[in-house]
Amino acid sequence: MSGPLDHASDASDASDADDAADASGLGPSQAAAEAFTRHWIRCQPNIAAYIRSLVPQMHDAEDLLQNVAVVMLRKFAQYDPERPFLHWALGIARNEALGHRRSHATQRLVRNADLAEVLADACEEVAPEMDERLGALSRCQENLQPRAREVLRLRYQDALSPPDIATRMKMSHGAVRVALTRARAALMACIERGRAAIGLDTLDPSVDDPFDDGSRA
Amino acid sequence: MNLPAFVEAYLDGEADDAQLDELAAWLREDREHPRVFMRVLRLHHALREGHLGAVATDVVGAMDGTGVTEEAVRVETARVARRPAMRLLPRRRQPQRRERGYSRSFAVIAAAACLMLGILGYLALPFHGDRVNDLGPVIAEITAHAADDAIVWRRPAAEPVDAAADVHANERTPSAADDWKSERMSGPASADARLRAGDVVENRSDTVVTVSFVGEATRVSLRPRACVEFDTGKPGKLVVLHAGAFDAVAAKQPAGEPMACIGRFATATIIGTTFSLIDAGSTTRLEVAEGHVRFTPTVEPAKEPIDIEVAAGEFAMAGPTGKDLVRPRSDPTSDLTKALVSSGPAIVDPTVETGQPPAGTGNIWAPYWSRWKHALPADPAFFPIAVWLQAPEMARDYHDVGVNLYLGLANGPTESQLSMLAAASMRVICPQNAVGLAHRDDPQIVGWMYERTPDNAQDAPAGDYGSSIEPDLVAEACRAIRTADPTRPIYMNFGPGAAYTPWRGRGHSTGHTDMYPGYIRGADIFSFNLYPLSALADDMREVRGNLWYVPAGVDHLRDWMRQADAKTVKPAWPLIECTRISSEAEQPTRAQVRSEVWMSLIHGASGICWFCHTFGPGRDDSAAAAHDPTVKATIDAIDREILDLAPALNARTVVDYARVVGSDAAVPIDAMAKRVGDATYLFTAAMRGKASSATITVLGAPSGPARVEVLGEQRTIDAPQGSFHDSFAPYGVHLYRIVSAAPAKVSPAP
Repeated sequence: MSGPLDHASDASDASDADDAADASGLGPSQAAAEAFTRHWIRCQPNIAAYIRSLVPQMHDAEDLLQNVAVVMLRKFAQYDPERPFLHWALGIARNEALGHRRSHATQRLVRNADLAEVLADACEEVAPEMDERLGALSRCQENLQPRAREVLRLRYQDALSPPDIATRMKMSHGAVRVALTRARAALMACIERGRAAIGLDTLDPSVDDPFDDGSRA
Repeated sequence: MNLPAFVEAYLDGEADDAQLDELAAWLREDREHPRVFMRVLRLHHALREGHLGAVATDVVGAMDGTGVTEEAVRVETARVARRPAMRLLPRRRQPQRRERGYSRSFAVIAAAACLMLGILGYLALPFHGDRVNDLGPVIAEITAHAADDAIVWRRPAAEPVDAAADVHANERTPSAADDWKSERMSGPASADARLRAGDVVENRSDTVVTVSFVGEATRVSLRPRACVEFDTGKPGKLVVLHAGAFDAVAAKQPAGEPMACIGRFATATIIGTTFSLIDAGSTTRLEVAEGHVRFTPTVEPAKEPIDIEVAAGEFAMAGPTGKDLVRPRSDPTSDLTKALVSSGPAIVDPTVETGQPPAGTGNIWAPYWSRWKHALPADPAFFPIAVWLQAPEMARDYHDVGVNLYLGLANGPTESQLSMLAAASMRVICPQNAVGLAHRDDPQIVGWMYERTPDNAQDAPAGDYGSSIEPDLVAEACRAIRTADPTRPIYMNFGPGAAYTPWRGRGHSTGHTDMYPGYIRGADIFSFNLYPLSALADDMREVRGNLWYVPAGVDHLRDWMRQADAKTVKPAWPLIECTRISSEAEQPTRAQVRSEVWMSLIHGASGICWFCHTFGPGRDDSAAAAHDPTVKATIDAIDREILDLAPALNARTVVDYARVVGSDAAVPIDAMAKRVGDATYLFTAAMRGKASSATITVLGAPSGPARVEVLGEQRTIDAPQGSFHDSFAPYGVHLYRIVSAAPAKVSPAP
């Protein structure tokens, strides 16, 4: 929904037009396109996580990710290949996220812009280890109880909110929250330890749920 | 690893403002915390991506041990180049984005790569006279279009071809630097522009642009302001609707080579027929005139592929969630007409000054609200005072300062949002979703919100801005809302262009005020946003500080309402600034805010909506109006004043009640008179930011000597001859109650 702050965000419109004009003079080649794609494939998960750290709603973050990709492409000729692509890309993502915040009345982000810098640094720092560790995620997921897997599937694949998951699975909202928390914690522990099945037996939210108020529909 | 509850809430999109503050504090607390946060977000992203399935299965399989291989890049670049550039388009909320055959990662890559390929193609233009050889085979031609108003956005085909005979009929080398991205059809002489796979045609005219496929009788007619991409399928052909609507006559397609027409929320697969595919904002709508069309929602409600056969005379619709699927129905026109008509008979403009108040009520809007089972109250003491897009958690705060309506709910309505609003006795006009429809009998929801601002420029291909949404499409979207629930009115907000008509934020539609009556026909309640005190953009220079643009917006809306239907005037509500909104703006004073409000009311506004947000480094606050004691006090005072006078504001305007002669011709003093019982009210405002005065002569009852109470100013003015003089500060407002000063007649004793 475009909101009632349209004229206040006009500056970013002009910026987009400038970007498009800039792009016309950059002269990227097919090799550049491939180089960009190469970098993007490698860094996209980190950029996505970083944007998500600044944009609370998953779908908004995903929309912004696309915009960031397009802006990066337009500005790719400005990228200095001697420097890390991720660092350059995070700078663009940060600017776009802050611009997004200004132009979306509905979005409440982490309040202070200085955190954007801190989070960008953190993103760069954890990128190599997470690139490596997440390779174990599939195996870790296989060891989840079916019900926990289903909660994750509904949350991440179908993008349902916890209340919607609660309705779908006939669980209380609190039980869904606990299930998601436990599942993520277990998966994080699993990938950090580099093996598949650790402490996953209690992930079934139907079992031993201290927050389940018994109000399942 | 145990994460704080606010981190978990953040991951699930449930963090409230307090939790966001906690999160910010926690991130600052320890250098390790941002790393922990980023690690869990990487996990979150990987889960969302299907635990890297996208990259792992499609690309990593072709990777070496160190990264992406040339082969992987080549394969993926080629693949995304074949994909329609749907992802370059603005998208609404899509809670469930189940892709077929393409991962989200590659959707992003596709968007990027398509744009890159487009750039490459056009940058090559000035330097390669044989660009035509890179364009690919002609698949269709533009056979009819209006001069200078059809735009082709061209991308080169993935596979170069040697087709000297395929010289583009409209080929010319761009002379300007920014011509690389488009080719404008220059007139009838070049009306045979040929289209290659991937070309996008944007119709900027008010007439139809027709595209005919080569070698067959299939024609696609782009309605005004439609944007359509033409591509080849695997096999068959693709017609991708990016914006607007098109009508098509499809020849019988070869076996196994269907023609697929892709909308935002559904695909129509055609064998041979006549049909229309319409992007109606919140839905993709298919209307079939002849033959049969297979209609496939992008997201199916049952999680299983659904192919619906839509026969001649039927229509079907699909929205972003799959839950809003409308299965084929016959005779769409009559159904939709019935849905519209069911909202009630047209009424005479309730604000017209003649006649008596409706029987049994002193509220001129009572007949209007009675059209719907669930709408705003007809109580004369009720006057709509709304807040724009505020958190339900703040409802009690707003209720306490006189606010009685929420406009919009972020990502809602949800059950918890509605519960919080109910606890604060707060009514709401919100988007129509499954939760909202489940509350069909809940009187707390007093209207449905059309979620887009239709008059603003919408995103166009290549990141540009295009035109406003075509009014017919807005009407279609509203019909869909009304069809789902005809018991509530539909609310729609306009952008600054409704008040400041030259505003360039309407893109190609700037100045086309003729579109507004069309919008107004579709919905029932209207607002607009223009903030003169916060208008800092260069293109708003004319508006800056000129508060009278707000009542001008009310005037415009009421004029357009009359153009839309001479017999019906609908509610017009301005959004009112009360905070400084952006860091650079001055804090509005109470007097300025009060002026914007009362100038609007005097010009016929039948409600107001506070815009409560602030933005800027360290100042982002969606509820600044409630958090800032000064602003809150301003809202409280103005709301109390309005509600005290609600019975008067809800009464009919008394025409020719007073003559107002200002001392300065450059400062109009506008006035509105109302009568409630024995009391007559005259509301006045100086319409410019310059001090002046006025002589006011009462022409109506009470005649003769009068005593004038100046409300809220603790003063009275004597008008011995029914005439009085008063001073006005810049944008000054005076609210008068006029009572007879003549002694009451005493009946003689029997």
